[in-house]
Amino acid sequence: MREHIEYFRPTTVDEAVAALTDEAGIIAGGTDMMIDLRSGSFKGSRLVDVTGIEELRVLKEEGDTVIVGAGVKIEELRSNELVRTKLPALAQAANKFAGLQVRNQATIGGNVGHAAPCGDTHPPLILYDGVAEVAGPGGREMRPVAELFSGPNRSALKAGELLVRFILKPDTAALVDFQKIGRRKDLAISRVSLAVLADKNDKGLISRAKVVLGACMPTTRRMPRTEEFLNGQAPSLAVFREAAGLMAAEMIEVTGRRPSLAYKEPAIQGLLMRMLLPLIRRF
Amino acid sequence: MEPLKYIGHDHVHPRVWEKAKGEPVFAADMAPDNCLVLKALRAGRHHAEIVSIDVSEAEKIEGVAGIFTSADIPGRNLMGIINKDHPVLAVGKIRSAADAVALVAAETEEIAQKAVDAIKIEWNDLPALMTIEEALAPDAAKIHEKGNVLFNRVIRRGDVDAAFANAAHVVEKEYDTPCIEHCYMEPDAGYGFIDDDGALAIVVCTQNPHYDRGDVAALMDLPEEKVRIIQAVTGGGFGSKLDISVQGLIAVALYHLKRPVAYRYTREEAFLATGKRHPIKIIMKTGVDKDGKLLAMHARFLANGGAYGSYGIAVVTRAAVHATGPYEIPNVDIEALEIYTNHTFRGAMRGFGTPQAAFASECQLDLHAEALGIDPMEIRLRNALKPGAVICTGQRLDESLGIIPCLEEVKPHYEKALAEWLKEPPAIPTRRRGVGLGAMWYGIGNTAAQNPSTAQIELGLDGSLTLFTGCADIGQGSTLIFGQLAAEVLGLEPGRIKIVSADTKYTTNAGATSASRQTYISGNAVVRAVSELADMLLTRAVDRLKVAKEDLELIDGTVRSKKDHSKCLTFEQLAKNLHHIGLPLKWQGYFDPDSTPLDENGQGRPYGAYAYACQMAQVEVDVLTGEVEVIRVVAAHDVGRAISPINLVGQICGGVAMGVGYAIVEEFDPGKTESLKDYHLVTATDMPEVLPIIVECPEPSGPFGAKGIGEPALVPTAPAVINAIYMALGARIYSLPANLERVMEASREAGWFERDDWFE
Repeated sequence: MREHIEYFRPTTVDEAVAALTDEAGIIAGGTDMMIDLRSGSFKGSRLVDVTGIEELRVLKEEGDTVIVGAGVKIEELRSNELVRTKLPALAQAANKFAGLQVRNQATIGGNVGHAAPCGDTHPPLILYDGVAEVAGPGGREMRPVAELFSGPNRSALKAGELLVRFILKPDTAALVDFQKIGRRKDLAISRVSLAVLADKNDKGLISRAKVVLGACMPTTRRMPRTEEFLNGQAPSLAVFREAAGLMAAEMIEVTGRRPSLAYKEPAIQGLLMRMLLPLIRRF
Repeated sequence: MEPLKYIGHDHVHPRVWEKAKGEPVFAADMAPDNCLVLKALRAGRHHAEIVSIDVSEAEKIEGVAGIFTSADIPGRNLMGIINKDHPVLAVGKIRSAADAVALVAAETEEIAQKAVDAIKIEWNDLPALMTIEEALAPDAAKIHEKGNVLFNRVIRRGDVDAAFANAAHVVEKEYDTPCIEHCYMEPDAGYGFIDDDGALAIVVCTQNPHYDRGDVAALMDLPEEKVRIIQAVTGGGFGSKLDISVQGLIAVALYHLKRPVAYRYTREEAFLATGKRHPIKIIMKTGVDKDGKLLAMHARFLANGGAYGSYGIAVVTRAAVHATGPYEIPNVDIEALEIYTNHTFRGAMRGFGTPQAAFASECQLDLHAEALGIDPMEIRLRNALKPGAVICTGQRLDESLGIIPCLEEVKPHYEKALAEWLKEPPAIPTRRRGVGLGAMWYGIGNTAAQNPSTAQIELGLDGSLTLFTGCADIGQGSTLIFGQLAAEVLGLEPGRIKIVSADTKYTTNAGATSASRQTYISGNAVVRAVSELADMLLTRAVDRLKVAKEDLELIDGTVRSKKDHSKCLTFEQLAKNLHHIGLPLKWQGYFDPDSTPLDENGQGRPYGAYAYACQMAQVEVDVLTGEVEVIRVVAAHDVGRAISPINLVGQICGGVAMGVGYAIVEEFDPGKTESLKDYHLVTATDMPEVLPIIVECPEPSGPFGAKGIGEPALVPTAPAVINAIYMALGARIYSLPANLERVMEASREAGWFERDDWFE
């Protein structure tokens, strides 16, 4: 651990942005930063603690969107009624996120800013067409969540930028779900995670599908060919199996062949099939 | 069994409150503020000669109080409870990345680390032998001068070849078990100071204070009375804290600096530098007759022991002796090899090779059962040890044979699970259900080796009672148990007996807290000591009260006539009287179980008593993702006699937790696994419902009939879970843990990805 690190606790976004020099790191819940400090992987000389900024803690409905402040704790996402009813996939992700102690500390902004490929909030944020409001030296701008990641553990945010809030579009599709596979039920890093959304038309055909795959590629992303294939199909095991195969192929195009694929290639297929089953029958 | 007053009832452990209140009872919290901080330089490479060590730069750093190497050790720089081969500080060469080469004492942790980083070592690397195949290769480098095979335990009895020739079904399989980290909650820690007697006093978490004293005294070439080990409250050990960890390093610095010093491992250092459970490759062949009766076993155990012996000899010996499981097999040919490699040493861990052996033998039984169309419960009942049975070492067992009672206790739960639970569809449609059995036996105490314990009870002139035991309570509850045993004999509440434990200045050797031996062995020593006192109290009371001994009773700190309660003497009155006639008010107890060494064919009487168990696991397996959820475990354990039922339940549930981890998730990958971030233990949410069933088949040689529970609790869980996964999937897993990858592979092998029937 570095011996001398400056500590700031601003109360407004503007103060925070002003304090975010090249040498600065942001600390909110600290569930990643404290580890980086102990291991020495944080090389900066200044910490900007954003927990004093009221604006980051907003959580409200606005028109046909839900606004989630970057400083909202994961445990709040898990238990909040608005999130549970309007953004069930995000509530599900929060429910499976780490363990209770971590959920009580960690924030959604931290989970996005850290850009770990296995970040559990990433698939639902992308599923709900999430857009982030980012504050920087030049003012504020809107960016799609999918564009906030430039690689594994590499955020696309530049030094001096701060996540302020996410604007999400709730969806009333028949199927909206997030599931993950970890090595245990609690305190598990996702080996595989999926956010899925699908609706049926009056003929019982899949009218639109969205599939977001996490933890398998350098960054979380939608699987457009899989989505396209599912659209217009009558739900059946055979269709799901084919969709799952397509998704695996799409993943491998991004990752290439790696040893971990021996598990992940069948697992993402199995998980997608399992998540689509409610389109055939309620359980 | 006749009900007893204090035994068989739940009492509160006398030291529970200080822990509950968060008082500083652990060594890391108790170390004085002015302590120097110690830090070892570890080799960081697997196998190498040390060409030179240059500490000149490190010594110049301000705040460094001393830097020590093996040259600073005056005595025998070799530790190890069974064979002494493990230097505290490396001499000439290192054999694993964990080997300590130099030790820094400094004012702060940061300075100590800086100095460690400033020490320069010139190495001459030697070939690193990491696998048993590499270590056994004919031209392999020698890790120790005597070669790479530390020990080979052979057990032969009967005619295996003839028996296989007559068998109706023979199966041979290869099993692999993983390296496991104990993950006790408290990382190793201790501190040292010079006490009032001028002794090197070391306060440390340990399972073995008197052994520690002997090895530290030899290390520093001091008489034993010049070393004092004080066991701090110990936050778990599971076998790892039997070895010397910080004790030797603290002694070296304390000896030279004569100032308080403290060493606290980080979790990372505890992971790197302390012993692990042996990974063992097991090749096991068994044969049965047409009724499923076991006829023969041929088994080979190849244990990757890492760089030093530790308890390795005991691990392979126990694996060999327990290879048959709790079943009679007349013909056996078993060999178990302890092999040196360049990994961090492997040592004792809850079960000493028995969990590994049970995994193989319990899978073998299910394989036979399936081939012959016999129910897994039925095949176990047919083979289970019955009075008069002769085990693979030739020992005849007549008493306290609890395996059939344990199987019978589980049977109704098993039948119900098959008839009802198995038929219900799982809530998640991609899951299949399975029910599996695992059984075990476990010899209590050291294997075929002397195994004594001692205890004393002191009667104060005020009638107070103090029990002295060298036994380290590491959370398992021996202090509670001894209090209950003494209370039962003396007829007063356990809370009225003060217990002094595991400080070598005040107590005598009780042996290690290992091998599930303390209740049985030290418990007997305690009962014998307090029985001597009780007898003396009664004898004196006969004289004073003029009442026959058989008409007297000990009750509530008095001796009184059963018929006329007014004829009564308090312990205080009796103490004064005994003192007056010149008796020293301290009584001794000693116990060593009836065992013999094993001969060259492994024949002999390895243990005085055996515990038995059967567990059933109910699991759900997701055939499309490889996820396994252990839903429920029914665990029947023959403990001889339950002294503290609530403690038994705690041990059983804890054992099941560890067993579930061993079955499905835990694996230490040397060189990769650094800490709890990448070593997965099961969490509270992963725990199945556990139904503990306490079975009591009293052991005539045990204290009030008691045996042990510590290790048995863990042993049957993994085989039960693996057998249940087999039922769910229709494909068997031969390597632990049954993690996501292995279950997925088995599921694909069974064709689940191509099948639709799981959805029907």
